[in-house]
Amino acid sequence: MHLYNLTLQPPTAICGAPALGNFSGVRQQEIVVSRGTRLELLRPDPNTGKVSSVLTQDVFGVIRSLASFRLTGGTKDYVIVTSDSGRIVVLEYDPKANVFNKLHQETFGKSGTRRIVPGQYLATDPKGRAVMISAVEKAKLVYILNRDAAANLTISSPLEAHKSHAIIHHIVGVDVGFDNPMFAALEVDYSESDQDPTGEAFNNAEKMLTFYELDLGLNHVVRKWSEPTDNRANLLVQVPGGRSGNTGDFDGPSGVLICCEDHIIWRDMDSPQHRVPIPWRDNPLADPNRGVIIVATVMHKMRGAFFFLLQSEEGDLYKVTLEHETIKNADSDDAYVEVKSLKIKYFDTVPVAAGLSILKSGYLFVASEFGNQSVIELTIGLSYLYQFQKLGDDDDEPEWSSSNYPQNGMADPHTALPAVHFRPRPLENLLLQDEMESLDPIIDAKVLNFFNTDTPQIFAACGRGARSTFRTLRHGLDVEETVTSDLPGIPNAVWTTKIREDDPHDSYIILSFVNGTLVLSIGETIEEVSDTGFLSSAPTLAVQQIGADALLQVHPHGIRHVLADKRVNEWKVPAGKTIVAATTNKRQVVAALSSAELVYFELDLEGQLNEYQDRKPMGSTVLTMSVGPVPPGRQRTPYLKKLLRKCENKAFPSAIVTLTTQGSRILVGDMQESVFYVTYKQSSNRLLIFADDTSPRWITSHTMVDYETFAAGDKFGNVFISRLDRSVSSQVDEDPTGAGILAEKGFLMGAAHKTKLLAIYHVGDVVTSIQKVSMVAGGREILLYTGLHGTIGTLVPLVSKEDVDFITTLEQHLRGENQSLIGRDMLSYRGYYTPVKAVVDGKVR
Amino acid sequence: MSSELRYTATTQTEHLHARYTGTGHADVTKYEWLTHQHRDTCATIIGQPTLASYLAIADGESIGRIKFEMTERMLQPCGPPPAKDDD
Repeated sequence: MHLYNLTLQPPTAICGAPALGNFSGVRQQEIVVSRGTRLELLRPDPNTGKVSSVLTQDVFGVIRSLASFRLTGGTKDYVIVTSDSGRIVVLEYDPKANVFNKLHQETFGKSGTRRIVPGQYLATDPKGRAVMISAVEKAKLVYILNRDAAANLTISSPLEAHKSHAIIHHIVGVDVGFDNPMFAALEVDYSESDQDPTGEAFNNAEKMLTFYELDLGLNHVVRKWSEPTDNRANLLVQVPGGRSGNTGDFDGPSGVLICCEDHIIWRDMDSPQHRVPIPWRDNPLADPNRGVIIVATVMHKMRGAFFFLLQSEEGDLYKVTLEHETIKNADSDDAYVEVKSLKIKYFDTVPVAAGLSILKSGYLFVASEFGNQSVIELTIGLSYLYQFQKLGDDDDEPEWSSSNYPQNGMADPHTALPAVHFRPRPLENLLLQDEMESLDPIIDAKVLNFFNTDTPQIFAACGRGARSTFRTLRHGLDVEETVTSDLPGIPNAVWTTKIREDDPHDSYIILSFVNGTLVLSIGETIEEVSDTGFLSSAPTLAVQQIGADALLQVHPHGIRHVLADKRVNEWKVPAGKTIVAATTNKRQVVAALSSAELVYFELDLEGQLNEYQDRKPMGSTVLTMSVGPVPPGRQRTPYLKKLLRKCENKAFPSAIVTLTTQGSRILVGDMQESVFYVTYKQSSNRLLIFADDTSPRWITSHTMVDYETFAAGDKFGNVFISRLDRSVSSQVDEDPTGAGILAEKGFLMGAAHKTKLLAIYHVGDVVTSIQKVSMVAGGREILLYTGLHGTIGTLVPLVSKEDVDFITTLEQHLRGENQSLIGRDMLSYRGYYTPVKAVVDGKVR
Repeated sequence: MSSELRYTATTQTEHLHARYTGTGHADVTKYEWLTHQHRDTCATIIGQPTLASYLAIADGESIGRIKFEMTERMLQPCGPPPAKDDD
């Protein structure tokens, strides 16, 4: 087997903070964003506020951090990207050729997202003279950026600023004007907690704010200053500093904002601190023990003033300002800045962002971390562009200032300031201008030809929480969204049904919610219908097209039999009882009551639903049951289910996440231990595991490709195909009781037989669904998968040996020609966890 | 003192262990090994955008919160070390 991987839609999630700058070298501001495995240049139109994508490039690696910088006196911004390649790259955008050119690529460590290999955090000096990259633990490197005689950008060899046994939460470049470049880091030392069995050292561990100074004269980095700060600090924000040449005034007080749980602190070396509480949402149901943290920040400078927008994990934006004053010494040129107060107020609420950018033209770019549907519009937004209506200067929102607290809020730094509250409200300072579509996150998807057109449609469950969407995509030149419907909540069950027995297609989609039922009719569009005779004020337990032309709805308080002329016959449950489970077929209905009784109904020849007089007590409450379809020409199915065949197998190691069946064969996807082959032996009523996989894989989705073969996706972004030997397969099927399987000896602490890996490929996105489909009528069957970050891809089998030879050779040559933009080895990226096997990467071009 | 630094068979290995935190060796204790594993896992989840998103969706939290708590957890992912024998 050999496959060709073709991506129908690349990932649409934005990962991490975007970088803003004039990358084309003209006055137009642009935004560079990471889409995880792709780098994209966006250009917002300063007049209309519409965002257009100028360039996207696959990088064949994982982008972890990116930042823009500009050399002093320059007019063009460059992008620095760190990734899992163990290399730092400096990119320049070439507007003529519309490509990113790699100016520098410096190797410093191993590939992969490792704990002590720098690349997780990236901070640039505001004057563009140096960049610091940091790992999650210990390692920090500083590179000096400069120009050579021919005005080309140069990068130095790295200077180490390591601190062993230190966990790093964040780093930021400190604005010190033209003094030696300075970087601030939030660090925790674990060496003592690792040695102290009493746990006291762990409790006393302090989070340190450390300033590192790059001495440009001596060409080394010194640990200049380190002081304990709030133990729940998570982010640092740059504060403007440095002295303006004309007036001698300072642009700002320099230092950093430390975002902590529930507090914001302004701090600089050897200056008194200022602290304000982060206002909480006015919510009586909120957990008082749970604090609020800041997840995205942006600082904006304009005409000598500056402000910050900080976004909480709830999506609330806070405007933070610093009141400061330049104090000059009358006799000399000496001057310093004094911070008078730190102020915070509620600004507006937008979707929780991976990063924020403020454009000079007055737009706020919100790269929301999960692209969800906006409530007002029908288009879908991953990223939103908002226009500032005003800056929240003249509204009634309360403002909290550090100057109102004793010692500017730092009287007792270990005690929280009294909680303050605000009330969230619709947008007041911002106006939605544009949205960019995104499927991220795709939780699950199914491919069906629901509308009976030439190509099947992809139905995807996207988003999370209150901003979830159900989307229909049609495969064509582009994968495009055709129908999107807002759902009032999370449906807990979905049915589709015909209206008449002889209808060729299903016409209704019935969604059941906790407190109601929604009926959608399928046509050119999907629309809600209310005249179906279905009860909409209660959840639905079962739906059935019954008899020739009637419909049936089972809800907790009764059974509605909707006749063709919309007359409704309703059977009501006796008072005090409810239906807990139901099963139906074309002529029969069985309902289980909360009193652990079964009620049986049957359709007579006139089309009337009649209750069978005896109710069968079951002893305990029924959880689920099933009745078989009515054999053709018969009035009823002969069994009544022999309910719930008691048969179980508890041998699965962690948790079962996926199930597929074919005949008596069941494939069980385990959360950690790949896929198990199980057979059901009716005569001995046993579920027996007869084969498993050799490698532990964290299955997220799987499908049967044929009776012996399965394709699956795992949590780490791989998709793979494994097959069981045909002789084992038939041997198991021929064994009538399963005694042979039971007698077999386990192999390698597992089942007796093992599957063989046929193909594996690293997609770079968590595969949330995989299905074998034919995308064009009569076309070859392919595997279609969806990824959490919005990827939709296919694996196309190559049919002839010539094709395989040609395409693999072509791929090999293309890989030689094209190098990854971030310096990752393409082949090793596609074989991230296991070497890539029998899959051709369709993205290499 | 962690067992890594006690492991001074050759200066070269000693140097490597000091440089590459988390490298295993013959005398590693169960606690140290487990702590290294957990710290490595946390670092990977923080660094891989898809894993962070996956966890965020499962926990109903923002990605920022997941990354923060994961970094916090790296301080002592497996509880305090076991008490040492006196001998």
